[in-house]
Amino acid sequence: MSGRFLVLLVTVAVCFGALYFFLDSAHSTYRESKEVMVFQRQDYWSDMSYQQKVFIKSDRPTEWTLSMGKVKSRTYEETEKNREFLQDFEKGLDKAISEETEVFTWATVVVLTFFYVVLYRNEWIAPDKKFPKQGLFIGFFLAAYFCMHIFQHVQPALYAKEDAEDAYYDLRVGFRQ
Amino acid sequence: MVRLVLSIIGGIAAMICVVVYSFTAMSTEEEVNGTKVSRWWDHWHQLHYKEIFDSQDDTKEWTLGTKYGVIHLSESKKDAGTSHKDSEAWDAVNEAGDSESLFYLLLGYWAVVTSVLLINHRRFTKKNPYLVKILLCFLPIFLIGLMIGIVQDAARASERAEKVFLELEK
Repeated sequence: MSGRFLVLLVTVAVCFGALYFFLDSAHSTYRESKEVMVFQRQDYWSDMSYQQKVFIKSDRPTEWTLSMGKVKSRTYEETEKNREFLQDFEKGLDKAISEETEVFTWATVVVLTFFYVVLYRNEWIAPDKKFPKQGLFIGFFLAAYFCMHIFQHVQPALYAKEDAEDAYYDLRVGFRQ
Repeated sequence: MVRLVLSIIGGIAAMICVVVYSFTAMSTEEEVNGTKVSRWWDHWHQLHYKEIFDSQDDTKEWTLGTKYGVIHLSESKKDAGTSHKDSEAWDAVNEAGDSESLFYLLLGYWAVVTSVLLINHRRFTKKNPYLVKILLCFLPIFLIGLMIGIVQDAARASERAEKVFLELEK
């Protein structure tokens, strides 16, 4: 195994490991007590999050703690009146997180591919006199393809984030507790 | 040449098997005497959703199963205020199942392309000495990245289904 290949292997493993834990820590489910189940979501990009406490086999309504940026987090009990806003916030945030997962994933792939091309530049850029432009052409094509994919996910992420923000402000104006 | 053609045909056949498995293992639909039974699964998170629609008397029954248990609801209960929950549950299980099948598709694609490259290693190396090396290194970078995103999507969707289940249990 060549030194170059080992460097690439370690870098890929470390980057993907970090990506996995970063994405995994954005959502969690745990049992707080026998009767309470907690569902959490965190969007690092727009700094929005919610925590939902579901009271199992009890009539107590679900409790939501929403936070956005530096604004102090607020807790709401789910009622018939505010359910729609809470669900809009949840849907918006979930969609934003999902799209951002794609963006972070593709961005990591771009960085790793770039690193790989640089590491193996002799093979990619100028393999030998017979195939001088092949690698360069494939490199440009991949870069364009990845950028298109990232853009494809950035836009819906921003729209979803705006939807969640709208729902949050509607909730604060109409259902302040 | 024969080896190349055979390996490509084998690769295509293997991919067709993976595609068929991905499409049939996560959801099925059958219709018997006017009753439509649809099922969706997410094997990773032990989720399943079954919907029985009787077109003769327009009734619907659905079942949601998670690792916490199974809940069964009929239309009469649905009318009592849980109508939005069936689509929520279906949506979550469907998304988790879709992610799982996409994961298998990518894994199959990776296995097939790698096999074709390795089987025809000498031929490709003759054409371009670096092609096999480049592809063998690039494919994992590209596919593992996508798979991580898919695993996370499935995990979030399964949490959503579990939440619906717990809310319904009330």
